[in-house]
Amino acid sequence: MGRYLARRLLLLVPTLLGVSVIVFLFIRLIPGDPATAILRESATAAQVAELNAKLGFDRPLPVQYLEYMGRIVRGDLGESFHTRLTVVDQLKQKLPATMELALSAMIIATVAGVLLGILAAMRRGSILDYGTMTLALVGVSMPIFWLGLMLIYAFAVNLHWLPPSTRGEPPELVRTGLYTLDYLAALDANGFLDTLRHLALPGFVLATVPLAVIARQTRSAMLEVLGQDFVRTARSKGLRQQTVIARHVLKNAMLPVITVVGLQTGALLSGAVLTETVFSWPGMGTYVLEAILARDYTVVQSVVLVFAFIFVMVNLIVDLSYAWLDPRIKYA
Amino acid sequence: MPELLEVRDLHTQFFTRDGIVRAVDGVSFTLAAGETLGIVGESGCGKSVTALSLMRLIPQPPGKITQGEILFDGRDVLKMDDDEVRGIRGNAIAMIFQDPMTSLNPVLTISRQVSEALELHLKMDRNESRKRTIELLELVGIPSAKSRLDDYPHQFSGGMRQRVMIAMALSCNPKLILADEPTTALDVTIQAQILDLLKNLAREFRTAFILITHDLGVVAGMTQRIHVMYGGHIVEKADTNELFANPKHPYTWGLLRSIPRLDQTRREKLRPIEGLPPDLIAPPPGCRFAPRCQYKRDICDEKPPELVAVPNAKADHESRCWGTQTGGWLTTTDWRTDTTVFTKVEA
Repeated sequence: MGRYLARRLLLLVPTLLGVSVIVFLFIRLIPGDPATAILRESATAAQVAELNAKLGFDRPLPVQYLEYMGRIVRGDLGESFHTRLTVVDQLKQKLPATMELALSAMIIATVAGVLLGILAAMRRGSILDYGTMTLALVGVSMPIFWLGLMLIYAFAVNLHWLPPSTRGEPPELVRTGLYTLDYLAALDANGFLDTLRHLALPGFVLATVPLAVIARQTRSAMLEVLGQDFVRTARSKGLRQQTVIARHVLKNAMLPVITVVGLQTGALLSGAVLTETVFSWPGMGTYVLEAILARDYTVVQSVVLVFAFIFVMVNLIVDLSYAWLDPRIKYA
Repeated sequence: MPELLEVRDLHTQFFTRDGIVRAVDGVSFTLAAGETLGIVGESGCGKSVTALSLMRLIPQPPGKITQGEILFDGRDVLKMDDDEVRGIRGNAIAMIFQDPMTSLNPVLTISRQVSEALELHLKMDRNESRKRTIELLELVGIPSAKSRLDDYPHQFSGGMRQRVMIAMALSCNPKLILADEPTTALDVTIQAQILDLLKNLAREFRTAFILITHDLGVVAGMTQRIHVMYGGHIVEKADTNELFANPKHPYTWGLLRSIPRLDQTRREKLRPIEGLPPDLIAPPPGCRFAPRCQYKRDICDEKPPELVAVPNAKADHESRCWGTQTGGWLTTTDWRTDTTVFTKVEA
C-alpha cells in the first residue's frame, strides 16, 4: 500500500510536466497576446512589440518555459503581469470559494444521484424509473450556463427566493475560506443560512450533469448486482429487501459509481468555470476566465496546473477507495 | 409419519415476450420429516424452478406461481404474507445453490454471511453468532475455522466455499434443505466429499433434504426416493433402489443409458438421448417426451399420460407413460436387454 502510494505520487511528476507543456503551448496558440490585451486594439504594432519585449514574451519559447518551470519547482506560481498580484495569494482566496461550490455540488449530485439510481433500479420499468432516467438525460444534455440563467430568472428575479449571485457576506473571521465552515465555527446561524442560500442555485446548477451521470450509473450497476447469485442467496436467508439492498447490493454496486464520481469531480472543474461566470462566484473559474481573456499566460498556466493536480489526486483517492470497497483488490 | 412438505399441483410460469413458459406444470409430491428425495432431470426441466418455488424465490416478474399448494408443516407457503415467508427462509427451509463461486457475496466476510441468518432468526447478538459460526465452520470441515472467520470468499477454494454454503444452510437447524446441483460446479474429487458431508450432516440433524441434480449417479447413494422430471412434469417416482433396478419410463432409461460404464467395452459408444427438450411455451399435446421417444405409438402424440402406479413394480412406483402403464406395450420391456435402442429416432 505504501509503495503503491509512493509510486502513484511519483507519477504525478511526469503528468504535471506533460500538462505544463501542453498548457504552455496551447495558451500561446490562442490568437492575441498579453500586450494587445493590455493596450487594446488601438495600439500600434511597435507599441505591442515593445510591451511584449518588456514582459519577456519575445524570448524563445524554450527559454520562457524553462524560466517558468524553474520558478514552479521553487514553489512560486508566478504573478499576474496585469494586476501584479501573485497567483499563490489569489489561490488562497479563490480556491476555497471553488472548493465550497464544488463540494456542495458533489454532495448534492452523489446523494441525489445514488438515491435516484437505487429507486429507479428497484422500481425498474415503473414511471419513477422512466421519469428519473428521462430527467437524467435532460440533465446531461442541458447547457449549464443556460440552466443557470433560467434558474436565476425564476428563483432570484421573479420569485425573490434566492440571491442571484456571489457568495454573500464573508464571515468576520475567515479561517478555512469555506464560508459554511467558518460560520459554523463562529456559531453564526444567520450567516450560515445566508451562505447556504447563496450556494443553492450555483450548487444545484453545477450538480446537474454529475447528478444525471451518477443516477444512470447507479441504476445500471444496481441492476447488474441485483441479478447476481449472491443476492438470491441473501434472499434465501430470509433477509428483508432493504437489508439485501443495503448490505449485499450497495457495496458491490458502488465500485462503478465511485469511478464515475471521481471522473465527474474532474469534469466539475470545467463546469465550475461556466457556473462561476454565470453566478459571479469569486472562485477559480472566474479567475482563470479573466486570465484567459487578458492572455495572462502565467496565471492560466499555474491555475491549470493546480486543476491538474487536483484531478490526479481525486483519481488517486478513487483508486484507493476500490481497495476499501472490494477486498479482492490489493495494491502493492 | 406426518408429512413435512406436501406439494400439490404446483404450476410456476414465466411471462416472457415470446409467450408463457410453463416451467413447472402440475408437480405434486410429498416429503416426510427427515426424508431425503432426489429430483433428477436435464437442464430446463423445471427442477430448480420447483425448488425456488418452495421458498417463493421465483423472480417476479417475469415468474409467477399460478396454481397449486405448498403445504409446509401443514401451512400453505403460497398463502403466507411476506413476513411469514421470510420467517421460513433460511430458518425452517434453507437452500444450497449450484455455484459457490457466485453464490457468496464477494465483499462480505465469511462470518458476516454465515452469521446473518443466526442474528435474524435466532436473535443472536454478534458475539454469540460469531461463536456459533466457528462451530458451524468446524462442523462442515473447514480447517482452523476460527482464524478464517474474517476471510473473504475469494480466499477459499470452490469446495471450501460450498462447505461455507452448507454451514450457512445448516445454521438455523432447518427442517428441510434444498440442494440445487450442489456439486455441479466442483471438481469430481471434491464432489464426493461434499455429497458425503451433506448426507452425514442431514442424517445427524435429521434434516429432510431435496437434492436436485441432472446426474443420476449423484443421487444413487444419497436419497431414499427419486423423482424424475421432464418438461415441467414429474415423469417417474420411485424408491431409489427400485428406480435403478426397475425403471419404468423411457426417459429414465435414456438417462441410465447415457451414464458411462466402466465395465463397458471400448467399442461401445455413449448413447445420448436424441433430440432436444420440449419447448415449454408450446409443449407437445401428448406425452412431452414422445418426440424423443423411440418406443412411442400414436396415442403418445395425441393424449398426455397421467402419472400412475405401474404394474410389475413396487406399490409406490409411478410413471407417466402410456407404454409402461397397465395394458401398455412396454410393461415387460427391460431397458438393459432391449435391442431397439440402437435404432436412431427421427428428431
